[in-house]
Amino acid sequence: MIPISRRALFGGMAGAGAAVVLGSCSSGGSNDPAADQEANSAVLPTYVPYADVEPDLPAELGRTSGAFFAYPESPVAFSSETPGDGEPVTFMGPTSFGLPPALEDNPFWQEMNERIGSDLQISLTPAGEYDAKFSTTIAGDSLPDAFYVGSMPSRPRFMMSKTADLTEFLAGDAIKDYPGLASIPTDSWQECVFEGTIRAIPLNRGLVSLPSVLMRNDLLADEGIDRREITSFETLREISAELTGGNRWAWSDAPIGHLRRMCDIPIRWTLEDGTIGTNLLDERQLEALEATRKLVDDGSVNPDAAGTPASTRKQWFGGGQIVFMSDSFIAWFSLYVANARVDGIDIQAMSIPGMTEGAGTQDLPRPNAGFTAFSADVGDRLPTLLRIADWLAAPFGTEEYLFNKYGIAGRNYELDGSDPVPGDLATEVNIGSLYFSDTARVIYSPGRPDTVQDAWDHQSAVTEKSVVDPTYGLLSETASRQLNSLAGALASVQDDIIYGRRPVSDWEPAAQEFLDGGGSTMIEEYQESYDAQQAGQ
Amino acid sequence: MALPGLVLLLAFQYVPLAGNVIAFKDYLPFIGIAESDWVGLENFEIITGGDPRFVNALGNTLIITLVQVVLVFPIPICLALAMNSLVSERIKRLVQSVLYLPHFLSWVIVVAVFQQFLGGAGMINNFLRSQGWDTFSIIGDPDAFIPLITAQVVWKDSGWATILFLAVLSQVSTELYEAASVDGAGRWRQMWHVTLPALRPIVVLLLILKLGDALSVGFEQIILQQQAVGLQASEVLDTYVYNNGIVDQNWSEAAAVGLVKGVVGVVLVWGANKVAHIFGEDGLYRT
Repeated sequence: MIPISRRALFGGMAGAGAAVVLGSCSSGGSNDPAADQEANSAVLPTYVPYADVEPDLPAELGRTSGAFFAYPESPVAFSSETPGDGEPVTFMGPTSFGLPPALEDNPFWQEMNERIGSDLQISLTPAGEYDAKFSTTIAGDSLPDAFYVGSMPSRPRFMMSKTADLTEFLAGDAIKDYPGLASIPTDSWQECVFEGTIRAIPLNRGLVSLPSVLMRNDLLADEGIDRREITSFETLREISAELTGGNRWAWSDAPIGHLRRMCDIPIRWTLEDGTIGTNLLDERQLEALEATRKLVDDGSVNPDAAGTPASTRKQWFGGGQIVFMSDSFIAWFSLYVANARVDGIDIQAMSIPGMTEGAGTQDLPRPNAGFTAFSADVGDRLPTLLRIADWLAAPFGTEEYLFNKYGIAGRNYELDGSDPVPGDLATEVNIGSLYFSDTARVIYSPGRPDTVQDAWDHQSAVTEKSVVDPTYGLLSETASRQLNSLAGALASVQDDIIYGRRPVSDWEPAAQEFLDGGGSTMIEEYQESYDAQQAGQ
Repeated sequence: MALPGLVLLLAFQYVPLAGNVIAFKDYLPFIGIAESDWVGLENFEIITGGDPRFVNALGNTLIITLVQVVLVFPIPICLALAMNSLVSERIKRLVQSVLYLPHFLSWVIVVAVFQQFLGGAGMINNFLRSQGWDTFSIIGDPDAFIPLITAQVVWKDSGWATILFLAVLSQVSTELYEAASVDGAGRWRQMWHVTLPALRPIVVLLLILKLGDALSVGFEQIILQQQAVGLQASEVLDTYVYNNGIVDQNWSEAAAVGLVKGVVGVVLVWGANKVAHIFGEDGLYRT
């Protein structure tokens, strides 16, 4: 992987008009944001790329992930030691996959425990419900040894009071004892620093978590449709209607996110000429909502879309009950694995045209899918837990990565050349260990070099015109306390609108309520934080 | 003998009551109840100030309560009367079993069954579509939400709720019916003058208890179906407490709403009991 520093990343995106700042998003202790930022930068771990594995297609700043057509021949061993201490390790995290077989019926999990040298006791919750589970776990004071940190009000205070301080093990060059963790790029770590201390390890995704629309291109081909015909909302609408019929619908969900991208407003916060603002009251919001509604009114969206969990939508996708699905870019590859038995399945991602012509705007994801922290109560076991995390973060190209992600050779996958081709028992590996700790992600789909090329090309195309969330790295106490619930209330009105339960005209009052209820204060606070950071540079 | 029960009651009902103190604090779970700041009545402002989300939840709750008391409550009584009039013991047992069964299914199953049958991509709609006929929308239609959940409650619990009434009916002395019949009373007059008066105390008792949790209307059932119709149509007080308190983590506000809900419940039970006394019934208790 080529290291991507935040400064370089955002400097390289002049076209998007995004000038964003280096710094932690998360401290909140003192009243001097510039000083906080300096303290946070001081502890950042040194970035040490693991080995010279040269990707077949290069990573480019803010544009593409590195990509591999095949798994490297004769993978090296990442570590010769067993990281565990023989005592069980408890972990709690979210999952976007179906639940795996339980430990006693899951040879992969047993083997994993064997290799780690400690029993991983993992409790998984569907991603959509994880925050509720996480908050009740905190309230019940029953946090496990390690846990994925859900979203919550006052998160910085939580991190400071309930999680273990990792600074002495990971700051600066100390991280070199943990080569897996050290190979995670610096921009990921910035989110894990609170008040000058490292409190978590990042789950790096980078550009592989681009918000995307995936499609069953084989079904399009059956209807004689070329996906490149989607060049405007009108063509998208026509094609959606054409694909709908019988017990099949074009869409698994009402694609408001994609239509916002087509309307150039994928992110609600804006930054123009050094001023933080919002597009919530922009007319294009109404345009995106109207357009989404049209798709729903046309009957092109599965009638049970509202309230259906992601795992069911993925089943619809595999079963051909729907053709288009909003998902993360990285699902492209796991959907191939999950649907290995579907004949002729061909997955592609949808381009992002403008509403009438030209190109829409891709929103770039934050560098991490989230982060994992350790309970402040683990005491002496901290180095052991970090060694396990390090082992789980074994980089692409190693023997351990092959095992962690693909399982046991001959059981969960078959080797085809150097590529692990997942088989029927591939779901055994979904035990959630990748939410405990993970290495930086690359584009790779075993035995599908064409997919790798298509995926890399897609990233390269849609990121030509892109935007980042300008508030990433900025501090707002109001956002920390209220953003969740205000955004939740707004999302609920949005759902009502796009599924036709309320008129589009209800958007503006709801957006106004979001701003009056705290949104405007957040903008002011973000602005202050932004100005402080600009001044500090 | 009562000790284990008493301990359970103390541990799980009375001790947690002390947690209600967070309604008067700015509670953050990770710093604990004791350390959280006192804020007085600030959390009650969503009630006194008429927060729109709260008002919406309260409105929906009251409508659903009304529907359940007026429409759903009498159904088990009618069923019990109908079953009581069955002569054959075997048929009676069979009907009872069939009516009781749905009670033992969890809400997750019940909701899934309704979804599979009535959903937009459900069995019936798929059949209609395959015949080229018009489809209908019940699940996912906010206007159909209250009829839908009412139908679910009736299907699931009406049979089970007949048990108490049947028990009372079996206690009615046959001599009363014989005496009425000697006096020339037909079946309807027997029901009016013998059966219904026998049921009256239990009906009053259950009504009072029902009022006690008038503001609780099927949390599990509703939360499972909430996303399909949106919060405007489906938010009730219990789901509001969950969504606002646990999902959005405004624990203190949620506790304040829960506390007020509890107080209202107590007042309703107490008031209804007084009313029952005025009409000469024993009600729940007499002091």
